[in-house]
Amino acid sequence: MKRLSLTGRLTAVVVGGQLLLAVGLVLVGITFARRQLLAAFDMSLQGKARAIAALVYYPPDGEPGLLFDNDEAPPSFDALYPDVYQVKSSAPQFEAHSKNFDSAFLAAEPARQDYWNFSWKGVPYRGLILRNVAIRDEETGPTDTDVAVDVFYAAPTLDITRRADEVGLMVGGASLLLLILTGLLAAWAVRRGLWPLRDLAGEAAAISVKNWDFRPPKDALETSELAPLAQAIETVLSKLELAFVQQREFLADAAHELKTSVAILKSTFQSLLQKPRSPHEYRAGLLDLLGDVDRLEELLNRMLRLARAEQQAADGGSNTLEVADLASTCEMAVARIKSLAAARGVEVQLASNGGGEVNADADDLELVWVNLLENAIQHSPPSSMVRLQVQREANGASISVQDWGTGIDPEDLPYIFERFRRGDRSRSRETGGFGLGLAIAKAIVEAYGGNIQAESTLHEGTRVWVRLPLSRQAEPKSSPVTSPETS
Amino acid sequence: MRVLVIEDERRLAENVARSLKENASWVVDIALDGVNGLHLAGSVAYDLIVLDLMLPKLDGLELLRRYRQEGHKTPVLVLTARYEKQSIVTLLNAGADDYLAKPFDLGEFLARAKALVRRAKGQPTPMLVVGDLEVNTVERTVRRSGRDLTLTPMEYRVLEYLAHRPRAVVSKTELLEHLYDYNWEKFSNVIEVYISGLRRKIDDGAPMKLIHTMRGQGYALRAGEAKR
Repeated sequence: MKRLSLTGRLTAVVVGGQLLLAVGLVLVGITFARRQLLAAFDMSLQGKARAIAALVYYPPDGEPGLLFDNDEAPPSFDALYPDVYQVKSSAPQFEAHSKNFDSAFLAAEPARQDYWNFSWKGVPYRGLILRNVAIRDEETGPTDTDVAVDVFYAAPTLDITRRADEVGLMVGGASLLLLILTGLLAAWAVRRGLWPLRDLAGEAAAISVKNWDFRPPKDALETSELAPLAQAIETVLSKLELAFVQQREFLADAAHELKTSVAILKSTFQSLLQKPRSPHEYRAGLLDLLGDVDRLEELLNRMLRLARAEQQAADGGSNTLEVADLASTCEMAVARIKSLAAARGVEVQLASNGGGEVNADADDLELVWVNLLENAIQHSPPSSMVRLQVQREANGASISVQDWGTGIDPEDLPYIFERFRRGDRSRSRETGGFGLGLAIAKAIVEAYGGNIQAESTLHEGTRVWVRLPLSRQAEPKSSPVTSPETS
Repeated sequence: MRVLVIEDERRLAENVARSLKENASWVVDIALDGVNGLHLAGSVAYDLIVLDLMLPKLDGLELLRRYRQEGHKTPVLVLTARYEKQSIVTLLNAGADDYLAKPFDLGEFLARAKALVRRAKGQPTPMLVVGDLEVNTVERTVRRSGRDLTLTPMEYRVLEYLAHRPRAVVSKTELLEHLYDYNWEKFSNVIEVYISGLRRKIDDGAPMKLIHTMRGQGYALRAGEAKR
């Protein structure tokens, strides 16, 4: 594919425009100069015609007739092609003319009395006829008996054409010079103007997975056309970097968890084999190993569940036709968490006003509530309470899990829904978790078009709530009776 | 020898501790988070610290930096799940003496642990020799003049500790600190029992005594001096 050059295009546009302008200027210049020159020429033509008339005089002794002083004729415009003139009157019969006068001049123009152009012997001429110019006697002044003459005067216009052409040439030459200059200037200016773009491209090309550092060149940011591009690149890169770093951290964390699990298994095997042991010791060791394998299996299951939920959320959410009853999924979750709650001496309370129905897989929802409850119970002191509340709201349902436990450090709060969250590793280890429960809950809720949030006060407790859109088929139930249920 | 294992994965910590107890006769304390680990490391005289990197409350690398800043010289063996070059360089520069990538081999772990401890005490090989006494820390056997001696585990621990630092005077408190876990005060007079047992097995009938009691100061294992 042939690439278009911005520099070439812009320069061509500028130069082309200038060329048109120059041609116009030359034409206007020539026309204008010609008109001016012609006006001056006409004036002088008339002046010369009158001068010719002035050379006609009466004979000094009062004789009839007229005389003409040939020697006093005004100088010609052009030495090569002398001017032509004729002066004549009908009464008395009088005629005088220049040497080169030819009666053919006037044969075609018997009635003319103005300027006109004609060609004679291949030379362009402009002529003038003044009619009825009165010849005065210098001594007597104007009288009724003054004779009137017709004067014809013509001169070659070669000079006018030449001078108009000179003007045209000058204007044209200057324009051409200007054209070349502007062309060069335009090309340079465009190139110079595009420098920031090249810098920007260079900077952007230096980005790699190892180097996310993108600093838009100052020139690019100060160029109003480029600033949006530079900022867009910056924004996209920072988003990409965030996603990339998150992915890499997830991978590192996942690797860490898996390696740790394998390290436990391996070290248990090796320490069991390091010396001969009694059957009882071997049995205890095998039970330990079974526990280690269970833990590894649980880790794998959770990682896969998280990956599936995140994939679903990334694919634009679920469009399942299944309908799950919120209240019953909550009851199932409470039943499932019973043994853990009992082991930690925590009471789980369920409060529901019916909730409603949601377009979701019931098992998925149950897993969300179980994960939230598990988290709450892990953070609760013995003989405290965890409350699961289902509420119907104007445009959906709200499900909240509240505990009165250790709370979450405000520093850690923004990260609690992240995978393998680190702020809370000790507790999650103690209870056999991996820091994946809340991340899974978030991914599932988002896959069903809902959202999840948390608020917490350190040493006072935490509340996590989920908002889910209700199923469209669901009919509104009018049973606002709260039925607390404990387990 | 006394070792501190700082590892948040309880099962792994227990396996490491068990292996050190069974195969090196060492005393092991376990810390499950960084804060507790740093506290223990600073308050007890350990011969070796085994440190995991990803720890709750206080990161392993930060713990290492602070520990070294406080001026402690105890060797630190780091267990890490990551082994990119950069992180290992960072680790060693922060004051780690060695590292092992998870999952690791327990045999290799033990060999490295023993090597770190003997190097810290100036011993180049696992065979400790004082005069004609040989203590093999790999097999955990003791010979004098080519004759095998049979020691109880506690006697061996005392001898091994003394043999790592020949000629030095080791106080009873130091022995107790390095050979017992938390409640060593209540064992305060057992050391004398072990020393007398050792003396009977090693020095009785030998032309040169190796175990010396420095009154009011402690004990020393040394050769090449005239009999007292």
